Amino acid sequence: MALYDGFIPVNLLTGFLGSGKTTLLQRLLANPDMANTAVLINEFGEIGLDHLLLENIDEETVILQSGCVCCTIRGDLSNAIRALYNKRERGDVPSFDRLAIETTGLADPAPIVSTLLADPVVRHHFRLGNVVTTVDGLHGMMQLETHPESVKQAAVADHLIVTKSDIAAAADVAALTSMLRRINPAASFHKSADEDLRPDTLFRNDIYDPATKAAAVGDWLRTEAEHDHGNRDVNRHDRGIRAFSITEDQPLDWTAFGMWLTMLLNRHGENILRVKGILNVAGAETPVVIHGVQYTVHPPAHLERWPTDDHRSRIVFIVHSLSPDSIKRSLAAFNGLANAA
Amino acid sequence: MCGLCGILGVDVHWSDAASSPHVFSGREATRRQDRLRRVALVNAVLRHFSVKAKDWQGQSYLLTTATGKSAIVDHLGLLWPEAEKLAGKSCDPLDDRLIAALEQDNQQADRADGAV
Repeated sequence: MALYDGFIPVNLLTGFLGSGKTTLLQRLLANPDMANTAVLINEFGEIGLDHLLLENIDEETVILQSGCVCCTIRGDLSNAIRALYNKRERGDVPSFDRLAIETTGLADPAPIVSTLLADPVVRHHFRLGNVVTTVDGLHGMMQLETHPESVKQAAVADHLIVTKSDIAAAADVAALTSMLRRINPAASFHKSADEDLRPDTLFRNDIYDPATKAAAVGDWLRTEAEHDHGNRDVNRHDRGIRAFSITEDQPLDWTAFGMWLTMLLNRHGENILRVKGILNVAGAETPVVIHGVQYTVHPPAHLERWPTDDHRSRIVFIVHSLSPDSIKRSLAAFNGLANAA
Repeated sequence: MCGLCGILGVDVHWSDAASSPHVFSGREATRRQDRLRRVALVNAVLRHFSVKAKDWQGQSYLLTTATGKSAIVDHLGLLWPEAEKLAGKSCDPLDDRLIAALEQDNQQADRADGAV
């Protein structure tokens, strides 16, 4: 059985206050592609579901015309996910096969990601799918400059969506997109005005979905390569955020790599916003994919084949105030121990 | 739970390759071999902090110091914070002095291999 067979993927929809999460969610909820999706939101009132409502299950749960199950979060997130799963198992709600969580505008996505692995019940039934972040096309640049939460939301994203792109000046959208690409070169980019922005486009495409994982890894490697011109500081307002990639020519010893990354995250996890990598592991026949958000590393995934002819290990880091040279030198020294020990 | 020793099973850590054989197809190492190798590698680092690690019952790691302080941890994610408490200092893989010391260890091992 493959890793995570039967687990329910969880998509996080995050973005700063007023960045258009709710508008995007309203649009998605009406789409038939959401039929087998459950959505956790903070308040029904905020999202205006009346025109989509099919049935009230209880005061926290409703079924929408699209077939989507919509729930409010009461108390903490893990309790909300457990309660929703219990309803699914009892047959009180349709048997959804995907969960989307809309965070509050000021939320740090990292603890939410970590909840999925920390809660013993949740982690045996759910897995992280991907992180979708909305960025305000009108005010996003100012928010990135003044609110560290918004930089973090952009840094952990797998998909970045610039909203209000139809009313913002084209030059402003271009400057914002350029800034976002520097913060997170491995994310894919969309505009909310794009007509082909659909739930299945946004929420699928992750490294554990057998149908899409090769494409997902290929996408972020390609994006990262296109925009990588060596080490980069985000900008003059950078707060020390930096995205860079490390390429390792020698196959990596998995035991040494695990030791190194756990040690690195223990000391610097707060400053490692995102790490994604495709690894050439010594002895393994196929590439191994890793990804983590701050202190949380998700189980490694395997790809059937390399996305390109380049079979070197490549790891993308998005960090705060850490030196790429130091990380690269440290990894090489730890990998060298594999031969010495 | 182990029927022989009564030890409860522990959480699988992402770094445990033996728990994900489908991810590491072709890599020939048993769980036991992996653990022993992990202990050897961890000790190659911990010796610079005067802390030692041992495998404990095939399911945890025992950390000790020369003064007799000790701690048991389940996996690598928990090992480093405990090692820092025992050592009384941070275990930072980006510390230039540690990296230089490990590079020196690696060079010595390479020279020893060359001499054989």
